[in-house]
This record gives sequence, C-alpha cells and structure tokens, in this order.
Amino acid sequence: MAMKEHQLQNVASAMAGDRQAFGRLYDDYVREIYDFLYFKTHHKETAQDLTSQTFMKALQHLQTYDADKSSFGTWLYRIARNTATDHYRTKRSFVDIEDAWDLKDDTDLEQDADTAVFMQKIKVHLAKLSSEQRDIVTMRVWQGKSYAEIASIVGKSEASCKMNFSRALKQLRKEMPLAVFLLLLLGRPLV
Amino acid sequence: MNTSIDAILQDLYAVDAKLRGHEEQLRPLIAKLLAAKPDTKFDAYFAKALRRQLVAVAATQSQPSFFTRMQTLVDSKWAYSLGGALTALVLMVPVVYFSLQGAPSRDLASALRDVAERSVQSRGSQAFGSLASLAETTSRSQSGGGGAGSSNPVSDKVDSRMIVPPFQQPYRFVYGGEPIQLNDAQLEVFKRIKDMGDTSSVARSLFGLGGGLIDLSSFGSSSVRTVEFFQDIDEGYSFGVNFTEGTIYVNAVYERWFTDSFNCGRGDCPQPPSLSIGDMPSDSELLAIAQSFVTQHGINVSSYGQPFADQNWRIAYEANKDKEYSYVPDVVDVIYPLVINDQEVRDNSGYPYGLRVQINVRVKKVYGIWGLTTQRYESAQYAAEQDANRIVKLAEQGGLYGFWGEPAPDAREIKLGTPTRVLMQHYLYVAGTNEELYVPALVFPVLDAPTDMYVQTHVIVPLIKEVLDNYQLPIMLKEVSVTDPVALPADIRKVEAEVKQ
Repeated sequence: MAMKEHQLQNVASAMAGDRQAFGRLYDDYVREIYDFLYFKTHHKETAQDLTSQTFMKALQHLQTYDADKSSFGTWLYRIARNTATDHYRTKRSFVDIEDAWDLKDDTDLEQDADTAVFMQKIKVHLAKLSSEQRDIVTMRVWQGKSYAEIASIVGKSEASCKMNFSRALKQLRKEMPLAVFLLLLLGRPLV
Repeated sequence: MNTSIDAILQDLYAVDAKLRGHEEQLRPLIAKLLAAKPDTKFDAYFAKALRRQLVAVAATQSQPSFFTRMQTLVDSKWAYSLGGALTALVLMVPVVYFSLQGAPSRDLASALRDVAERSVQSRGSQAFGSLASLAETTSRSQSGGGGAGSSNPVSDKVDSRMIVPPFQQPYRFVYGGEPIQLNDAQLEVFKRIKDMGDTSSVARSLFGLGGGLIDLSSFGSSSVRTVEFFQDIDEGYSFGVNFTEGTIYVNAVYERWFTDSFNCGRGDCPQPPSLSIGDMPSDSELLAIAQSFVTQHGINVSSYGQPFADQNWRIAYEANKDKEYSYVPDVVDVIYPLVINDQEVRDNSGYPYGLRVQINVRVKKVYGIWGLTTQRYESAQYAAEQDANRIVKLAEQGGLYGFWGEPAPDAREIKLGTPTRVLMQHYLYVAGTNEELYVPALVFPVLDAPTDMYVQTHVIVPLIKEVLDNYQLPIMLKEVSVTDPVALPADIRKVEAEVKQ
C-alpha cells in the first residue's frame, strides 16, 4: 500500500500535532476501512462503531506509528482487524470468534436484512475458512487489494498470502455452485 | 471494467482451469454483476460526523511543544516535501487573491451562488480588533486619545450586565470528566462575511430601466438590501434574501395555510385541539420531510452536518408530571448543525446552531427555514486561555450565559462530562453593527440530568482570553425585607384612617 506524497506530508503533520492533517488522512481511508469492517460484521451500525473505534485508537496511538515498518493504511487495517476481533470476543465471551462469520448461528447477531440473505447463501462455505483466509479473500476480491498490500496487513509474506488465497478459493469452488461462487467473488448481495 | 473482469477471470481459472472454456458466457455475466456494486451502506453523514469528532478530540489531546514539532519535522524524511508544499502555497496565495478581486456583473442567481460555497480567508493576528463587549468597546473609544481631557474609563463604562432576580439554583454543576489540557497559546476565531457583495447589478436587473408610476432608475446607482417573493397559492411560501445580513429565509404564507381557520370571520373560529404526544411524527419521519424539502428546493447543506430532530421541547414535556397538560408543539425543527473547519458550531447555551427546517406537525409539511447564511468567513488568531481550572470553574457556574444564581444549600449535584472542542457563536456589537463571530469553546455534556426539573443540556465556555476577561456576572437583585414597610405620607394615612372608620 504505497503512500502518496500528500499522505506522507499529512502523516508528518499529524504526528507533529496538526489535527487537520489527521482529518485529511481520515478522508483518504475512512471508506475502505468502513467497507472492510462491514464485510466482517454484515451490519451498518456495528461497522460504524468499529470504524469510530479504529480511528480513535489510531489518533491516540499516532506517535507509535512507524512509517518505516508499514504504510499508514496498512497500520489502520491492522487496528481495524484487531478492533473487530476484540468486539466479537468481548460480546460473546468466546475466544475463538473473530468476526461475524464465526458465529454458529444468527442468534442476537445484528445483521442488515438484505445482507442477511446473501450471507446465508455463502456463510456455510465461508465459515469453513479461517478468519485470516476470509480477510485475504475479502480484501482481494471485494476491495481489490494487491497481494503485497494484503501481506503487509496480515503480517505474512506475499507468497504465503497467494497460497492462502488460492487454497481458500479452491476449497470454496469445490463446495459451492458456480453462481454462488461468482457472487462471492463479486461481493454482490442476493436481493 | 475489463481489467476487473480479467482479474476475476484469472482468479477463477487459477482454481478451476475448466472454466476457461466458458469465457464467452462468463465475461458478460461478470460484467453485468460488476455493474451492480455491493452496497456496504456507507453513510456520508456518519463519516463527516466522525471526522468532526476526531478533529475535536485531536484538539484536546496533549500535543508536543512547538520545538518538539519543529524537531520532528526536521528529523523526518518529509521535511523537504513539506518545504516544497509551503513554497507552492506562498506562490499560490497571490494568484487566489487576485482572482478574487474581480467584480463581475451579477444577477440574483449568481449573487446567491457566489456566497453558497465555503471559503475561509486567513487574516492577521487579532485582525478583528477587540473582542470585548459593547460596554468595553464604547468605553475605550470614548477614553481614547489620551490627554488631560480624556474621561475616566471606569466611570464611563456602560454597565450592560444582565439583571437577574433573587434566585437560588436547585442544582449545582460539578465537573467529573477527564483532566483538560489546553496547550494552544492562540486559537483561530472566525467571522462570517455577511455582506453579499455589490448588488447594484441585482438592483438593475430587478427594476429595469423603464418608467411608469415612478422611474426607479432615476435614483441612479442603487443596491439591494432585501428582496422577498411569495407564492400566491394555498400552503404557499414567502422567501427572501437579506443582502446585508447574508441570510435567506423561507416562511409559510400564514393566511394561505389553514384557510378554514383564517377565513371564518372575526376571530371566532374554534381553536384546533391541542396536539398529543401521539401526534408527533417519529424522528425519521421529520428528517425525511426536511430532507425532501431541502432536495426539492436545491438548498445547499454542504456546510452543515448530519441533521437531527430538535427534541428540546421534550425536556419540559417529560418534566411535567401531568401529561394531560403537557405541551406538545405544533412546529418542530430539524437542525442541520453548522460546521466550520471541521468544528461544530454551538449557540451560547451550548446547543447545536445551524440551519433550522421547521415542520408543522399538524400537516406534516415544512413551515419555514431559517439560519441559511452566506458561507464566507475570515479567520484570525487570538490569545487562548490555557488555565484549565478557570475554564472548569466557569463551566461549573453554568458557563458564561447559564448563570442564574448561586446554588441553594441543598442543591442537587449534577455532573459535567469531558468537554469537546467546538465553535461558539458570539455577537460583537461594533459601531452600530453586529459582527457574527465564531470563537473556539469547550462544550461540556450535562450527565444524568434530572427529568423532574429543567436543566440545560450543555454548558459552553469560550476559550478566547479576551472574551473571558470581559465577562462579568449578572447583577443579582437583593431580597427586599417586608418587616419594615415604607411609611405612608401623612395625608394618605388620614384618608386611610377615615375609610377604616
């Protein structure tokens, strides 16, 4: 996730205390972070809440960000992933739950009505993947991220991510009808 | 589009090579599906509100000192990029400045268009002069000039303080939030440019050059102060522009609304029954009515935040135990809070200030709008208060405009939460005109306010030193003792005695 020149300037200014610069960084990333969290939660209000938490945490820990280790966007994605995991673990008191896909049933799961139909179709298949595999699949096919970007976010090598993605898709393709598989690839809710 | 399709096809073939033979069918299918993007229900209002919140939080966070900031910049690998950006800015400013100098001929539409988009022009430090109140401003101008003849500044002061009757607050505010850090030595104050510019061409376009009852053009070059139009239909609106105040309003043409009531003789029409709580539309219904009107009439709300239905009336409604006599208003506002430089604007009670769309609950239609103003501002730096204790003390007193008396000995304690940074609308009366300023302030939420009495929902305290320094408590009237009544004049006493006999 290469940073553009203006983003480099904004990060420097934000770290030096320019609050408007942080606002500009927010403008650059809010949509994709929100989308990423929506794909993990299937629920607008929850995704909004987690987006708020993600950016608040980023603001609070801005001075710990190291531009030599990762891009700002990658750093934000990591915070977002951890925030989502914390949310589900706290809510359900189960340590093995990392996002909405891991929930065994839809009891007390907040879910947007139209998304629910789509999720029902593919959940049985996606639930068999690991949370990390799901993140790789959603970032690759729904958010159009490169393997290099994904690798940086999940903290694995690019080759490992490619392998993981390929295995995940093969597993899904084996089990899913082609139509459902295509819908998954396109992120198109069935309405 | 083809790139996306190709990428998806490659992903597909990588996992199922047999699909390669079906590319002709797959390609249009994928194209069709791609055209309908997934809906993640991203809400732009939410994004704007969160941005404001983040910027407000950033403002109250502990910040490195100026020297630390400079060191960070010098040490960083972006120092050269920043230098380049600053150079570009210096070169751009004159271009922007000169491009604003032209005064093209304008009709009414272009006059409105010119002031609709947000602009903030930075002026020098303290560019708006003194921010003191009318009393101090007047005093200073009278005593200026020095010399033996100058008047005494103290005795000349016009005391403009509010006079309040003897009263003891049944509650006291106590700050219970996080420690406040005020690091900025100076903060940015904004002034709205109310004047909508040269309106002479607007005037010419309105009255033309012809004669008749009077030849208006004979007055020569004229400007427009206000203009009003109205719809001559049932449930029509009047709408107008005040060019000197830079405001636009819409009102119901009252006599053409509720015509049954207005046209039934000399005021002997039956009063409509009071509304009950069940008549009040839901918030979402109120918002939909307001938004529909805003969209239909092309009202530019880009300078305003996420609208909400004003629920202030509910405080009094809930406090009244006898719901039969509780008042449910006929008109409820939907407020689009004004936002300047990512800071929400509050009025001097701490309540959100902005565009108000008034909805008549009886007919569920917009009844008027106000608060739609020019969006051109100037900004200037002013010394900021850095003593958090002073701010907290003022907050516990109810803010600058919420003090109505000392708390009673048995006053109930009400907590104030951690404040957020906002701008407070502040009027400054100078040389016969009201300047409309927006000064940085902290707004404190009132936590767990009791429902059986009216308590303000927010407390706001400005952060500009000069505004605080010129603040004075209202004049409190003293209780008058009735144990020593005023003696009646002798002739009156005589008459009184005769009457008693």
